[in-house]
Amino acid sequence: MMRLHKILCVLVAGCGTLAPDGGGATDLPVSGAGPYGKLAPNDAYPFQAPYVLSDAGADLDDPYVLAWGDLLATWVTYTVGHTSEIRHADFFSLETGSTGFIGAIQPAEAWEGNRVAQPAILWTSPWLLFYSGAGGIGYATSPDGHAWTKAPGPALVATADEGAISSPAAILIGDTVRLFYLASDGVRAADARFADLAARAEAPFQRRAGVVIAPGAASWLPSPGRLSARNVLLATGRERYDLFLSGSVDGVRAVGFASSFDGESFAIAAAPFLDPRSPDEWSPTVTAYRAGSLLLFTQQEGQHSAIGAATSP
Amino acid sequence: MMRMHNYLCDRIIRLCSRIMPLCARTILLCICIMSGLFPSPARANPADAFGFGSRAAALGGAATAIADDASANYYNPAGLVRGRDLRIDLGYQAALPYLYMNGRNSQVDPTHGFSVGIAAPGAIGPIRVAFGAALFLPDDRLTRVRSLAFAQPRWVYYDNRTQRIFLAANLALQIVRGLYVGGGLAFMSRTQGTVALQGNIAVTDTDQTSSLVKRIDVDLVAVRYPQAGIVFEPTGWLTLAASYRHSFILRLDQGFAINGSVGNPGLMPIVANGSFSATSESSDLFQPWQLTLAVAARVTPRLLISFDATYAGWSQFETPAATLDIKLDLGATLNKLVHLPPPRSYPAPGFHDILIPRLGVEYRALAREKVALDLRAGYAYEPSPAPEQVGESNYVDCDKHHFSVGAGIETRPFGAALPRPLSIDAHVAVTYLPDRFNRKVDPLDPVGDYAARGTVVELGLTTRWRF
Repeated sequence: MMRLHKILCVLVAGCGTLAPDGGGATDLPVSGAGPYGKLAPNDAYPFQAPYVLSDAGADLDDPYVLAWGDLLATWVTYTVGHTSEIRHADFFSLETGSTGFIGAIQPAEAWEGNRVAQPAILWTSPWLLFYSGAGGIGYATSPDGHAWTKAPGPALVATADEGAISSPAAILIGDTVRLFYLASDGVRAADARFADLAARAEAPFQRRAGVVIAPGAASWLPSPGRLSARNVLLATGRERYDLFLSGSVDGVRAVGFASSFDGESFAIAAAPFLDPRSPDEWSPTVTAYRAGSLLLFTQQEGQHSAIGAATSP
Repeated sequence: MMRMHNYLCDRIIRLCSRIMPLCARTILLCICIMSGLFPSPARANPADAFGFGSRAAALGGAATAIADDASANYYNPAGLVRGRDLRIDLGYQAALPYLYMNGRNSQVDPTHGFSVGIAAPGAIGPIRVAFGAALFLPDDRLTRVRSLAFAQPRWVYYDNRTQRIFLAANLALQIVRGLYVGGGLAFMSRTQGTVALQGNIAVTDTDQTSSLVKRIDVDLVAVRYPQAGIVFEPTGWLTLAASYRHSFILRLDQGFAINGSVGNPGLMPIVANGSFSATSESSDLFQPWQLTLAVAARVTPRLLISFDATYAGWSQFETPAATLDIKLDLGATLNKLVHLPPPRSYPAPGFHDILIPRLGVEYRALAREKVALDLRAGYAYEPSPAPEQVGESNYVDCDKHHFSVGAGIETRPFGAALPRPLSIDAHVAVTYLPDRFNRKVDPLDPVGDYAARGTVVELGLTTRWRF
């Protein structure tokens, strides 16, 4: 009987030694600012991670990605020889790989100069796709994100001060589409009414004064390269506007971002997303994916460039 | 104190032998032993969040003026001496949080465990006194202490503050008829320690030629804080009361040090008499000081209304993030190659004091010869002491609307098997945390804007045995 008393006392005193690890840290909010880690190789993937899109006969570049649940829709610049077009690839999920490329926009207009590239998408009604050509920046509309109709172009042509312009990136602020683009003196912006773009109006953009991001604005941005943009509707009901930029550190290309609550003044991250080292990355695009974020970028894979992926919890 | 405690434990065990089964007596023995080992009790964060005892919890926690059973060990120790008989409460309570950030469940751990309490009145000469003890024993962990990264979002009220044992012991005495005072000391322990290594670390063949001597010094340092209360009954139907609970914070102080040389035996060392030390200081399990003023009125023989107003000093809340101080000495040559960041200082959390009103209603729905039935309901409003999280910190919290209902059955004496009344109380409560938005100033913030909301469901059952 005394032994039972002692055993039970020990059991009572031992309460609390068998607990699982603590909780409260599940699905914490993240903004998409990172940190990012490249997708690790996995035998279960139908692709060679971190490369989620590649083609043995073409250079892939300038990815743009949208997510809806586990589904991903991507657009890339697809270059063979001296001809570039924009192609589209869908994923049922990141891990299952793409369903293959289908054509989106092909060069056909004189001003495009046999090259359409650098897609930037707005998932609106109708969909809007902005792209660069040899002679400026153009755009197209679509009812479903697949069948595109070009607007009379180019929609934006470089001024004498700007030199050449390229790399369109678009956000929606109310009923205004703000288009960011690369000029010789940095990242600039121009506005157009959404209604004009939906109607495929000719030359709809009005330039905004000044440079949005100048070369040297951050240590990793001595000269901004290919950029993309996105709207983020925050849980608090306000919008945030992100720019994803290509830069370099000690001559090695790097990708990072800048962000704004008003679409006019942008705060630039102090460091790039990924450790700048060879093989380097450029042309970033980010989407919220599942509980975290997905970053796609361009990276050299053997003889050609391919699209790599990195994730942030 | 210890002699009285042992006497009471012995008397309790003898009384229990008549009616309680063997295992229950054994558990009670263990509790007495444990309460004797910790004569100065601890203030309860789980009781602070979820109440103690089903009667008080069903009344929305408005029990400062009416607690006269074991729950008085938490709500107002002066109430211990208001009763005439020995009361032992045994119960079980659970709180299940469903807390969300941006619509996603944070999976905050539930809090559940056994509640045990004793209210033992007596007399020292003509002076009525009482001794009380109460224990909330979590059934999955005794205490959890952890230090999170400064910017990591955490539910500052529910995440870790409720994950601890609660142990209380108090004394009360009657000044004159209708005027009672009581008090006790709260007790907890914190760790303070250092791990030290000293010797030689070889560069090659480390297993064979390294020699390190380790020393570990860890102290469990006692932390005490007081609680006191007063009850005044100016009339037979009106009770006024006040209670005070002092603040509590658990400080963790851990260090690691290594002293020695790096290099192979017989050769000039790469690092001669080098040293590395890291000291971490953090705090956890904060409990604000609380002053409660209360009134209870038996407006009819069947209807009792109680009201508490608690002022809680949350402005003393300190950042729980650990501060790390690193020192490194590798010699003059190598020191120039190493750049350690300076210790980081964190901004003050900016919490503010709050006022918590509580209202409870108890109605005797049934009063028969052998059984009585009480119905209870309560409401409390607890504003969040945390400011909107616009900077780097993320102390997630919302205002809280607390709704509770409960019932209690009291049986009359029933022969030799049940010579004294037995009460069984149960309660269900829901704490509703409405949406709260946190809008960051910096668009680059890695957490970003978020919306927090949630619900906490609480259940409990308490039995009260009188002797």
